[in-house]
This record gives sequence, C-alpha cells and structure tokens, in this order.
Amino acid sequence: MGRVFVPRRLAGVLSQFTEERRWLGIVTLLLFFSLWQILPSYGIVDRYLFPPPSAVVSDGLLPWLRSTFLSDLLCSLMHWATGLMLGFAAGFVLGICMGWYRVVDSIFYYLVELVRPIPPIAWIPAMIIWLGIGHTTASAVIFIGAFFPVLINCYSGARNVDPVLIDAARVLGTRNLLLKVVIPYATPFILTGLRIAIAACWMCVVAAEMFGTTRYGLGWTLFLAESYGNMALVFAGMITFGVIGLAMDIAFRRFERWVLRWKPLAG
Amino acid sequence: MRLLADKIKIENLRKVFEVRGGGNVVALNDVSFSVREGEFVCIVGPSGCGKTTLLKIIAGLERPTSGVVTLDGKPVSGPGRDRCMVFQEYALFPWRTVLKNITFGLENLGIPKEERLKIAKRYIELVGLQGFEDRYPHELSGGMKQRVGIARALAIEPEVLLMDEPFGSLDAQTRNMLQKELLEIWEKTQKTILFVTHSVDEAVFLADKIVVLSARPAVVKEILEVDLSRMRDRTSQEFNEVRSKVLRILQEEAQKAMEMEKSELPLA
Repeated sequence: MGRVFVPRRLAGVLSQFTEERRWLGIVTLLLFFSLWQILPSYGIVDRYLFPPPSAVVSDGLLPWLRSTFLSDLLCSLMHWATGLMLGFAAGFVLGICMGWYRVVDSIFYYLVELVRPIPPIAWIPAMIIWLGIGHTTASAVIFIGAFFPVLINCYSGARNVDPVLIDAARVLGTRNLLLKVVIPYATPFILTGLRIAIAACWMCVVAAEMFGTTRYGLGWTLFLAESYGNMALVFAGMITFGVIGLAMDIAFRRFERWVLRWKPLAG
Repeated sequence: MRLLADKIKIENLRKVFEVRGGGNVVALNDVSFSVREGEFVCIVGPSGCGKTTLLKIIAGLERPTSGVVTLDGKPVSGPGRDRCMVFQEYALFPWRTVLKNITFGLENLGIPKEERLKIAKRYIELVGLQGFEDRYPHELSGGMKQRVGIARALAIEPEVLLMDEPFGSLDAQTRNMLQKELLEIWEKTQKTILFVTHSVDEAVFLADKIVVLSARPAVVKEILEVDLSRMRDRTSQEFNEVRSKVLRILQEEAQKAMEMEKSELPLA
C-alpha cells in the first residue's frame, strides 16, 4: 500500500510545483541577469568581453539612443517590411497556383526545388553585384528569406484542400473555387508560412546589413560596434534584435489567433 | 402517395474508372430507373457498389462513361441549381459560421445581402438552429452540422435533393430524430429526394421507393414500392416484412461483393 501512497503524495507536490512554474521561469531570468551583472563586476569573468547589463545600458544603449538608434531601427524595419511584403506576395501567388493547378506545378517544381536550398544569405554577394550597395539589395535578400517559406506553405495548403469541400462548393454553384474555397482553406498554412517568413526575414536583416549594403540599420550598427571593439554596443544591438523579434512573434500570434478564430485550438 | 410525372430519368448509366497503373474498374454497369416528382427514393446496395458515384453523376460532379441522366427531360451535364447535395462528411466550410455556410450558395447566385439573410433565416428555422447562427462548425455536434448541411442545400431552393448517406456518421438516437425531421421537411417543401444509405432500416422508414443495387459492377437488382403510411412504426409487422425482403436481396449481394473483394486482394 505504501508503494502506491508515496508516488501519489509526490504527484501532489509536483502538481503544486507546476502551478508555480511561471515564477520558476522568472527566477531563472533574475538569476541570469544577476550573475551577468555580478561576475564581470567582481572580475570573475573579463569585463571587456562580457560587459554587465548596467554597462550595456550606460555605455551601449544610451549613447546609441542619443545618436542614430531611431534611424537604424526604422531603416532595418523598412528593409524587413519591404522584403517581407514582396516576398510574401510572390510566394503566395506562385505557391497557391502551384498547389492548385497541376500544370503550374509541373512547370515550376524542379526549378523551385533547385533554387530553394540556397540560403538567402548566400545570395548577398550576387545581389551586391547586380543591384549595388543600397536599400534595394538589402530588401532583395530579405525577399528571398520570405519567398520560399511562404511558397512552400501556400503550396501544401492549396494542394491539400479537402475534395468534399470542392464538391460541396460546386453543387452550390461556385464559379470561383480558388477564391471561395482554396484560399480560405489554405489560410492556416499561409499564416504558418508568414510566421516562418517573419522570423527568417529578421535574420536576413542582420546578414544583409552586416555586409554593408547600407550605412544605417541595426545590422550595420552591430558590424560597426564589432570593428570599434565596442562590446557594450554589440550587446545592445543583439538585445535590440532579440526584443524586436520577440515582439513581432507575439503580435503575429495574436493576429493569427484572431484570423483563425473559426479553428478549434489544437488538442 | 403522390403520383406525378417522372422528374429524373436514369438511363443505362455506366461508369468505368481507370485505375492508376493500368486496368479498369466498372463501378456502374447499366443502371436505369426513374424518380417521380416529389418522390422520396432510397438507394441501397452493398458497400463499394457505386452508390456515391451514381449520386455524383446525378449531381453533375462526375460524368458517366455512357448513358444519360435527364431532369424534366433535359440531360444533366454539370452541377445546376435545380439539384443540390448533402454529404455524409457534412462538408461544411469550417471558416464560415452557420449563417455564412447557409448563404454560401445564395452568394453564388448573386442574391443581394438582405435577401440572403431573409432566406437563410427561414431555413435556419426550418431545421431548428435558431440561436446558432454565429457558431462555427467545429462548435456543433454531428446532428447540428448535418442540419446546417441540409439547410445549406435547401437554401438555393433546388427541386431535387441528393443525399449521400447523410446520417451515416451519427449515433442511433440522433439518426432517428433527423430521419423524422427530414420527413417533415420533405412534407413541407415537396422536394424530390434521392437518398443513398446502407441502412435498410433507414430506407424502409423513409422511402416511397427503394432501389436496390447489386454488387459491383452495379445494376438495379430490384425496385420496391414501400406502401406504408407515415410516420412508420419500426416495430410493426408490415415494416419488418419490407425490411426482411430488402435484407434478403442485399445479403446475396453482400456475399458476392465480399468474394469479389477477396479475389481482388493481392495474395500475401
């Protein structure tokens, strides 16, 4: 009997524990930042290589905020948004058409499969030669970052439309199956593609700007900070990328939940 | 019993499917029968005999290999608003609310919004879904989903309702309830109904006429007029006489179907 009783009590303790797991995560964060602050301050790790959070703010973030931060941020967001929107539009059109029309699939399939594995960043040298140094080049790299994830997801969405819904739409007199059935059906897939694209494009921003395609931007700042040996600014740049990337994902999840309100939550 | 002119004529219908990797499957082999205006016809047959294919051809979703389906004397060549279909899988559009599912066909007809809402409201009341207009399909039970399916088909006011095992995925109680409701709707709307089912009980309960199909390749094995007054009592002697008769015919065919399936399976 005791062998049954003990695990049950243990389970009770554990369930109490999981209810408080949110706090557990916050404790980890606090511990992380405290260690990061304390270790370099007492000389346990190199203060130059790992400037503590206080120094990142005072020597990195604050001077940056007073100088070019806003233009850097806007410049990066502009590259990101331009590339993302154009890449999404192109990937959406081609992906849906390839998924729905067999003949379009046959025409483009091998070409897409051949070009798709090239990482967006590998396009940078070619883009610089084709388009020169400038916003266009940065956005073009980001375009590639959005194009393929959107294309692949739109493709599987349109390819997997439930045939019985097509039958239902036809007996109900639909003339435009693409607009009335295929695209609505594919919406969850399209949004998944968009979500992957948002993150991929944000990564491409760093890379495109670090190659010096423009003289502004968060990525460019990161590159400058490294060449000046300004570790506080390096960390400030990294954290800015992290925070904005997180904000984008949170905002997008909310948007997605709203668009897909017709869908049961997973599970 | 309404004795009117032939509404639908199915003449020498044959459907051959090409199987990938060569070979053909004959689904329908010379099927002929006719349906009178306002008649409730059930089609039964062993599973896999091509009942759904037959219904899809009448709906205009599939083309026959040969033979012809005429509606009021005009040959069917594609989907049309004179016919609508109700599916076993409900086939509701999950991204549309109950109301928007029902107005789907009306949008395609170019009916203005106010009118659409008025018509939809009428059919929502007919199937008893008041209060559920703004729900999404995933929030509904199976029975409610199929009520939406029926309302959606009726909303475009077809003359013929084609129903492909519409209650096949429902539990027994819901099924019986919906059968009764369907009969009431049929009385009210005077539609001609073609109803595919694998349940003999359901066919005897609903139909004016039962068309029994043979095992694949399907031909019409027998046509029985069910001359019992409604609502029928499933426990009555007359009901069970008809039921046994249909079951006997089906059993022979089911046996054939099973042997055929066995012979088609690759040897292990």
